[in-house]
Amino acid sequence: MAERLYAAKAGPIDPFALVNENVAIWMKAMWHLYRVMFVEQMPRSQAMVFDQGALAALGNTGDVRLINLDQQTTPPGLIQLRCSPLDDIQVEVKLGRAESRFTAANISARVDRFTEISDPDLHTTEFVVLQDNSVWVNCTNPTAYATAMSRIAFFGFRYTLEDLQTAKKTPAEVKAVVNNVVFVPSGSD
Amino acid sequence: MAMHRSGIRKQSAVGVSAVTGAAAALYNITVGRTAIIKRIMWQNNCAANSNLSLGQGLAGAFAAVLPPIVTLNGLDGELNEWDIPNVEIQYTAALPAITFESTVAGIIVTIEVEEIG
Repeated sequence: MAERLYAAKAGPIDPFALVNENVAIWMKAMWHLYRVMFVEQMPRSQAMVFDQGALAALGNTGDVRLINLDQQTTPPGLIQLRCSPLDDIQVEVKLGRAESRFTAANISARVDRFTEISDPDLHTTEFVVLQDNSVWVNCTNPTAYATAMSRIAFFGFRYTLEDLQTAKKTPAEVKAVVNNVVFVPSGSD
Repeated sequence: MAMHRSGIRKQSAVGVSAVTGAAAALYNITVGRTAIIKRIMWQNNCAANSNLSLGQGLAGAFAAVLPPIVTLNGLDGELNEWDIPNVEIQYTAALPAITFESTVAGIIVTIEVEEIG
Protein backbone atom coordinates (compact mmCIF):
# COMPACT_ATOMS: atom_id res chain seq x y z
CA MET A 1 0.00 0.00 0.00
CA ALA A 2 1.29 3.40 -0.93
CA GLU A 3 2.37 5.67 1.81
CA ARG A 4 -0.38 8.13 2.58
CA LEU A 5 -2.41 9.85 5.21
CA TYR A 6 -5.43 7.56 5.30
CA ALA A 7 -7.82 10.27 6.54
CA ALA A 8 -7.40 12.08 3.23
CA LYS A 9 -8.95 9.19 1.35
CA ALA A 10 -12.56 9.78 0.34
CA GLY A 11 -15.08 7.14 -0.69
CA PRO A 12 -16.05 3.74 0.69
CA ILE A 13 -14.33 2.48 3.79
CA ASP A 14 -11.04 0.70 3.28
CA PRO A 15 -8.53 -0.67 5.78
CA PHE A 16 -5.84 1.98 6.15
CA ALA A 17 -3.11 -0.66 6.24
CA LEU A 18 -2.82 -4.40 5.60
CA VAL A 19 -0.87 -7.09 7.42
CA ASN A 20 2.85 -6.40 7.86
CA GLU A 21 2.50 -2.72 6.94
CA ASN A 22 3.64 0.09 9.19
CA VAL A 23 1.37 2.70 10.69
CA ALA A 24 2.16 5.84 12.63
CA ILE A 25 -0.71 6.68 14.96
CA TRP A 26 -1.12 10.26 16.15
CA MET A 27 -1.94 10.33 19.84
CA LYS A 28 -0.95 12.69 22.66
CA ALA A 29 0.94 14.93 20.19
CA MET A 30 3.27 12.15 18.99
CA TRP A 31 3.35 9.72 16.05
CA HIS A 32 3.51 6.23 17.60
CA LEU A 33 4.86 3.46 15.36
CA TYR A 34 3.12 0.11 15.02
CA ARG A 35 3.06 -2.75 12.53
CA VAL A 36 -0.19 -4.46 11.55
CA MET A 37 -0.37 -8.15 12.53
CA PHE A 38 -4.03 -8.85 11.78
CA VAL A 39 -7.04 -7.11 10.20
CA GLU A 40 -10.71 -8.06 10.46
CA GLN A 41 -13.95 -6.47 9.23
CA MET A 42 -16.68 -5.25 11.59
CA PRO A 43 -19.86 -5.08 9.48
CA ARG A 44 -22.70 -2.68 10.25
CA SER A 45 -25.22 -4.85 12.05
CA GLN A 46 -27.38 -5.00 15.13
CA ALA A 47 -24.43 -5.80 17.38
CA MET A 48 -22.76 -2.60 16.23
CA VAL A 49 -25.82 -0.42 16.98
CA PHE A 50 -25.76 1.35 20.34
CA ASP A 51 -28.91 2.87 21.79
CA GLN A 52 -28.48 5.68 24.30
CA GLY A 53 -32.16 5.53 25.20
CA ALA A 54 -35.00 8.03 25.26
CA LEU A 55 -34.23 11.71 25.01
CA ALA A 56 -36.47 14.57 26.06
CA ALA A 57 -37.10 17.42 23.64
CA LEU A 58 -33.84 19.34 23.10
CA GLY A 59 -32.19 17.05 25.67
CA ASN A 60 -28.84 15.33 25.52
CA THR A 61 -27.41 12.16 27.00
CA GLY A 62 -24.22 13.63 28.37
CA ASP A 63 -21.01 11.76 27.68
CA VAL A 64 -21.59 8.03 27.37
CA ARG A 65 -18.79 5.49 27.04
CA LEU A 66 -19.40 2.77 24.45
CA ILE A 67 -17.48 0.13 26.34
CA ASN A 68 -18.31 -2.60 23.82
CA LEU A 69 -16.14 -0.85 21.25
CA ASP A 70 -13.08 -1.08 23.51
CA GLN A 71 -10.12 -3.02 22.12
CA GLN A 72 -7.82 -5.59 23.65
CA THR A 73 -4.59 -4.26 25.14
CA THR A 74 -2.27 -7.27 24.67
CA PRO A 75 -1.29 -7.32 21.91
CA PRO A 76 -2.41 -3.76 21.16
CA GLY A 77 -5.80 -3.52 19.47
CA LEU A 78 -7.16 -0.74 17.32
CA ILE A 79 -10.50 -0.12 15.66
CA GLN A 80 -11.27 2.04 12.62
CA LEU A 81 -14.90 3.14 12.52
CA ARG A 82 -17.46 5.14 10.62
CA CYS A 83 -20.83 5.95 12.14
CA SER A 84 -24.29 7.29 11.48
CA PRO A 85 -27.31 7.77 13.72
CA LEU A 86 -30.48 5.83 12.98
CA ASP A 87 -32.69 8.31 14.84
CA ASP A 88 -33.03 12.06 14.51
CA ILE A 89 -30.18 12.93 16.85
CA GLN A 90 -26.87 14.76 16.62
CA VAL A 91 -23.83 12.81 17.77
CA GLU A 92 -20.69 14.37 19.16
CA VAL A 93 -17.89 11.80 18.99
CA LYS A 94 -15.09 11.77 21.59
CA LEU A 95 -12.03 9.59 22.03
CA GLY A 96 -11.72 9.43 25.73
CA ARG A 97 -14.09 11.70 27.53
CA ALA A 98 -12.06 14.86 27.11
CA GLU A 99 -11.17 14.81 23.44
CA SER A 100 -13.84 15.72 20.89
CA ARG A 101 -13.28 14.73 17.30
CA PHE A 102 -14.11 16.81 14.23
CA THR A 103 -13.31 20.13 15.88
CA ALA A 104 -12.48 23.60 14.60
CA ALA A 105 -11.19 26.29 16.93
CA ASN A 106 -14.66 27.24 18.08
CA ILE A 107 -17.04 24.41 17.17
CA SER A 108 -17.37 20.65 17.16
CA ALA A 109 -18.98 19.16 14.07
CA ARG A 110 -21.55 16.50 14.85
CA VAL A 111 -22.81 13.51 12.91
CA ASP A 112 -26.53 13.58 12.19
CA ARG A 113 -28.95 12.08 9.69
CA PHE A 114 -28.06 14.72 7.13
CA THR A 115 -24.41 13.65 7.11
CA GLU A 116 -25.18 10.52 5.12
CA ILE A 117 -27.07 12.58 2.51
CA SER A 118 -24.07 14.70 1.52
CA ASP A 119 -21.50 11.98 2.33
CA PRO A 120 -23.08 8.58 1.50
CA ASP A 121 -19.88 6.69 2.34
CA LEU A 122 -19.65 8.47 5.73
CA HIS A 123 -16.00 9.15 5.00
CA THR A 124 -16.10 12.35 7.05
CA THR A 125 -17.21 10.43 10.15
CA GLU A 126 -14.20 8.12 10.25
CA PHE A 127 -12.08 7.86 13.37
CA VAL A 128 -9.62 5.46 14.94
CA VAL A 129 -9.44 4.24 18.54
CA LEU A 130 -6.35 2.63 19.97
CA GLN A 131 -6.13 0.33 22.97
CA ASP A 132 -6.62 1.94 26.39
CA ASN A 133 -8.92 4.50 24.85
CA SER A 134 -12.69 4.41 24.43
CA VAL A 135 -15.33 5.83 22.15
CA TRP A 136 -17.54 8.29 23.99
CA VAL A 137 -20.62 9.91 22.48
CA ASN A 138 -22.91 12.73 23.47
CA CYS A 139 -26.27 12.51 21.69
CA THR A 140 -28.50 15.57 21.37
CA ASN A 141 -32.15 15.55 20.37
CA PRO A 142 -32.56 18.73 18.26
CA THR A 143 -36.33 18.40 17.96
CA ALA A 144 -39.19 19.72 20.04
CA TYR A 145 -40.38 16.14 20.60
CA ALA A 146 -39.13 13.43 22.90
CA THR A 147 -37.44 10.57 21.05
CA ALA A 148 -37.93 7.01 22.23
CA MET A 149 -34.49 5.87 21.05
CA SER A 150 -31.16 7.39 20.12
CA ARG A 151 -29.31 4.75 18.15
CA ILE A 152 -25.92 5.02 16.47
CA ALA A 153 -24.63 2.41 14.02
CA PHE A 154 -20.91 1.77 13.58
CA PHE A 155 -18.90 -0.28 11.08
CA GLY A 156 -15.28 -0.60 10.09
CA PHE A 157 -12.19 -2.70 10.67
CA ARG A 158 -10.31 -3.87 13.74
CA TYR A 159 -6.59 -4.48 13.93
CA THR A 160 -4.08 -6.27 16.08
CA LEU A 161 -0.78 -4.41 16.18
CA GLU A 162 2.84 -4.97 17.04
CA ASP A 163 4.19 -2.07 19.06
CA LEU A 164 7.50 -0.88 17.56
CA GLN A 165 8.22 1.05 20.80
CA THR A 166 8.96 4.22 18.92
CA ALA A 167 7.26 7.62 19.05
CA LYS A 168 8.31 10.70 17.11
CA LYS A 169 7.22 14.30 16.97
CA THR A 170 7.30 14.85 13.23
CA PRO A 171 6.50 12.78 10.12
CA ALA A 172 10.08 13.34 8.91
CA GLU A 173 11.43 11.70 12.07
CA VAL A 174 9.00 8.79 11.59
CA LYS A 175 10.19 8.29 8.01
CA ALA A 176 13.79 8.23 9.19
CA VAL A 177 12.88 5.10 11.16
CA VAL A 178 10.53 3.34 8.68
CA ASN A 179 10.30 4.55 5.16
CA ASN A 180 6.93 3.16 4.11
CA VAL A 181 4.27 4.12 6.63
CA VAL A 182 0.62 5.18 6.80
CA PHE A 183 -0.12 8.17 9.03
CA VAL A 184 -3.30 7.69 11.07
CA PRO A 185 -4.66 10.34 13.44
CA SER A 186 -6.26 9.03 16.64
CA GLY A 187 -6.91 12.21 18.53
CA SER A 188 -6.87 15.90 17.76
CA ASP A 189 -3.83 18.11 17.34
CA MET B 1 -21.48 16.27 -7.94
CA ALA B 2 -24.23 18.70 -7.10
CA MET B 3 -24.96 18.92 -3.41
CA HIS B 4 -28.15 17.06 -2.63
CA ARG B 5 -30.92 18.99 -1.02
CA SER B 6 -32.62 15.91 0.30
CA GLY B 7 -33.95 16.07 3.80
CA ILE B 8 -35.13 13.62 6.37
CA ARG B 9 -38.73 12.50 6.63
CA LYS B 10 -40.64 13.19 9.83
CA GLN B 11 -44.30 13.01 10.76
CA SER B 12 -46.71 14.88 12.94
CA ALA B 13 -48.80 13.31 15.64
CA VAL B 14 -52.48 12.79 14.82
CA GLY B 15 -54.20 16.13 15.37
CA VAL B 16 -57.84 17.14 15.55
CA SER B 17 -58.50 20.51 13.97
CA ALA B 18 -59.92 23.45 15.86
CA VAL B 19 -62.30 25.94 14.34
CA THR B 20 -61.12 28.92 12.26
CA GLY B 21 -59.55 31.50 14.54
CA ALA B 22 -58.26 28.88 16.98
CA ALA B 23 -55.41 27.35 14.95
CA ALA B 24 -53.21 24.94 16.89
CA ALA B 25 -49.78 23.36 16.34
CA LEU B 26 -49.71 20.19 14.25
CA TYR B 27 -45.97 19.74 13.67
CA ASN B 28 -43.14 21.43 15.59
CA ILE B 29 -40.30 22.22 13.19
CA THR B 30 -36.84 21.37 14.52
CA VAL B 31 -34.81 24.41 15.58
CA GLY B 32 -32.65 25.66 12.72
CA ARG B 33 -34.32 23.59 10.04
CA THR B 34 -36.94 24.16 7.38
CA ALA B 35 -39.80 21.81 6.58
CA ILE B 36 -41.67 20.97 3.36
CA ILE B 37 -45.04 19.25 3.64
CA LYS B 38 -44.89 16.02 1.62
CA ARG B 39 -48.11 14.28 2.54
CA ILE B 40 -51.39 15.18 4.20
CA MET B 41 -53.85 12.54 5.40
CA TRP B 42 -57.21 13.39 6.93
CA GLN B 43 -60.62 12.20 7.95
CA ASN B 44 -63.59 14.52 8.18
CA ASN B 45 -65.22 13.71 11.50
CA CYS B 46 -67.09 17.01 11.73
CA ALA B 47 -70.61 15.91 10.69
CA ALA B 48 -70.43 18.60 8.01
CA ASN B 49 -68.26 19.54 5.06
CA SER B 50 -65.30 21.59 6.25
CA ASN B 51 -62.28 23.37 4.79
CA LEU B 52 -58.90 22.34 6.21
CA SER B 53 -56.08 24.90 6.25
CA LEU B 54 -52.39 24.39 7.02
CA GLY B 55 -50.11 27.29 7.79
CA GLN B 56 -48.13 29.02 10.50
CA GLY B 57 -49.17 31.01 13.53
CA LEU B 58 -51.56 30.18 16.32
CA ALA B 59 -55.19 31.25 16.80
CA GLY B 60 -55.91 34.65 15.22
CA ALA B 61 -52.35 34.99 13.91
CA PHE B 62 -52.78 32.03 11.54
CA ALA B 63 -51.55 32.51 7.97
CA ALA B 64 -52.14 29.73 5.46
CA VAL B 65 -49.25 28.35 3.41
CA LEU B 66 -51.50 26.31 1.12
CA PRO B 67 -55.01 26.90 -0.25
CA PRO B 68 -57.75 25.39 1.90
CA ILE B 69 -58.60 21.74 1.24
CA VAL B 70 -62.31 20.96 0.94
CA THR B 71 -63.04 17.85 3.00
CA LEU B 72 -66.38 16.11 2.69
CA ASN B 73 -68.51 14.99 5.59
CA GLY B 74 -67.61 11.49 6.76
CA LEU B 75 -64.92 10.89 4.13
CA ASP B 76 -61.18 10.53 4.34
CA GLY B 77 -58.57 11.68 1.85
CA GLU B 78 -54.92 12.36 1.26
CA LEU B 79 -52.59 14.50 -0.81
CA ASN B 80 -49.12 13.33 -1.78
CA GLU B 81 -45.99 15.30 -2.59
CA TRP B 82 -46.68 15.46 -6.32
CA ASP B 83 -49.96 17.25 -5.51
CA ILE B 84 -48.50 19.71 -3.00
CA PRO B 85 -46.47 22.85 -3.85
CA ASN B 86 -42.92 22.69 -2.54
CA VAL B 87 -43.55 25.35 0.10
CA GLU B 88 -40.56 25.52 2.45
CA ILE B 89 -41.53 26.59 5.94
CA GLN B 90 -38.85 28.05 8.15
CA TYR B 91 -38.52 27.61 11.88
CA THR B 92 -38.49 30.88 13.77
CA ALA B 93 -38.89 31.46 17.48
CA ALA B 94 -42.15 33.28 16.81
CA LEU B 95 -43.42 30.66 14.32
CA PRO B 96 -42.00 27.34 15.47
CA ALA B 97 -44.70 25.04 14.14
CA ILE B 98 -46.90 24.09 11.20
CA THR B 99 -50.40 24.85 12.45
CA PHE B 100 -53.87 23.93 11.26
CA GLU B 101 -57.51 24.92 11.53
CA SER B 102 -60.80 24.16 9.78
CA THR B 103 -64.08 25.93 9.15
CA VAL B 104 -65.84 23.26 11.23
CA ALA B 105 -63.78 21.76 14.06
CA GLY B 106 -63.01 18.07 14.12
CA ILE B 107 -60.93 17.03 11.08
CA ILE B 108 -58.41 14.35 12.09
CA VAL B 109 -55.10 15.10 10.37
CA THR B 110 -51.55 13.75 10.07
CA ILE B 111 -48.84 15.29 7.91
CA GLU B 112 -45.48 13.99 6.74
CA VAL B 113 -42.75 16.57 6.21
CA GLU B 114 -39.24 16.61 4.90
CA GLU B 115 -36.89 18.63 7.06
CA ILE B 116 -33.76 20.22 5.61
CA GLY B 117 -30.85 21.65 7.53
